[in-house]
Amino acid sequence: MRTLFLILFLFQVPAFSQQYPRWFLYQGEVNCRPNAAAIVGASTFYRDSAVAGGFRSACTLQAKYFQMAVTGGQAFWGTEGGTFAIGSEYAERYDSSLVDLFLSRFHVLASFGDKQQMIVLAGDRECELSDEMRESVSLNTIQQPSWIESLPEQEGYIYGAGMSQEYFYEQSSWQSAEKNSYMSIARSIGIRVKGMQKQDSAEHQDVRDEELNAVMHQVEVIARWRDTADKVFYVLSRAKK
Amino acid sequence: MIDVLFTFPSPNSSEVSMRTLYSLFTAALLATVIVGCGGSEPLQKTDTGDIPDWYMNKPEDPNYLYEPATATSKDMQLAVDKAVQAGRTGIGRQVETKINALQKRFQEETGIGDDAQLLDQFTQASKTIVSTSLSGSKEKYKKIVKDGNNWRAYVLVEYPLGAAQQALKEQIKNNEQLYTRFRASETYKELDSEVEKYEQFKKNNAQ
Repeated sequence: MRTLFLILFLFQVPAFSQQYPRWFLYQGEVNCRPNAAAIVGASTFYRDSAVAGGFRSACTLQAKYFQMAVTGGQAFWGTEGGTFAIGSEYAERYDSSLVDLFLSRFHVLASFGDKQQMIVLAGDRECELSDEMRESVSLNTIQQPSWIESLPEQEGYIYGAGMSQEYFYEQSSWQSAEKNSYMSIARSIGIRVKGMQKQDSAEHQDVRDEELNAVMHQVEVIARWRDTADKVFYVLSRAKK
Repeated sequence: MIDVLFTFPSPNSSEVSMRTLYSLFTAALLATVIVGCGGSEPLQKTDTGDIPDWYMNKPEDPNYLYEPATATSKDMQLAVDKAVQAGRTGIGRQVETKINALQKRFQEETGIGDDAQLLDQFTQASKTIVSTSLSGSKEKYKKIVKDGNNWRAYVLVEYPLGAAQQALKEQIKNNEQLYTRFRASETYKELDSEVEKYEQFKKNNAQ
């Protein structure tokens, strides 16, 4: 009996949601602006507590996205045997005093919870989310969006797409993809690349270093998608030029 | 010797254990021979259908520089980061080549090679342009595929050439000595013309 229980526990596969509210998958179409969606851990007992925690996270996220400075860099070393990461270090700076401002200005527009996570959408107090955006959308009905392979172009905005592999906790997958999307925007804004190649009769080596120093304004998540077959999470974000 | 190997005495405890040992040794030897002679597995192939067309055939556009790149990693985002950085580094080299060519033309036409201080100022201006003017570069296309146990990322990085030329022109204009020396040269007039075309291109794209 114990062996059976152990086998079942080891082979337990986390059940990821296949349906999401439209405001989560197409956040750029939400009628209330500005808005922010935070993904936090699932409620353990009191759902309201999880929603309150998610609301605070959403306000923190909105403060960060209002104006955020990203500095740091990463370096790679390319050899005949492959390219290896030497290291990376990044710092994000934002005005944390804006969190209280958004806590007073925002309210919970909608929330969505399942066994894996709680997702909270926060926006201006004087705005109500439209019924259309509250509809549930199944991932099975959506084809791969075009922005996965080719970024949209719009005057006045810089777009960035981020992706993440599947982690045990679905919230980690979405958060990782979202972070990668705004880091992609930061690299379009302010990057310095240095490279040195060395080649002799026996081998070829290539050392590359990038320094990032960018300030992003009014970052917003536009869309999300999940490839259930390859288990990849995608997020599209944009920032004002 | 052969008699010892193939003649088994009547069983007792030590002799049974020796027989067991012989059997295990023979089985292990046979297994090693079979596996060793089995041949190696063929190298894993990537389906050529996975390679995007824009990676094999780089786009051509007089207003942009393009650099395709690919990289692998067990971590998906790291594969993308490696590939994008490789693409940007390649573009940096393309820009450096063009700026170096421009620098040589300025030198030949204006003779600033004789003026060490002016040459040094212009060289500094060129180096600054190459290392900082990649702002505005972006990942035009991106594709992620599975390659064995790794993720492989294909990216195409795009960079507006006019941005580098515009930055170089600004650097020259900000240096009075350089500007005085260069503004009458044919090379500077060509650079000016290219920058005007780029600005018109930006206006047309904005409409």
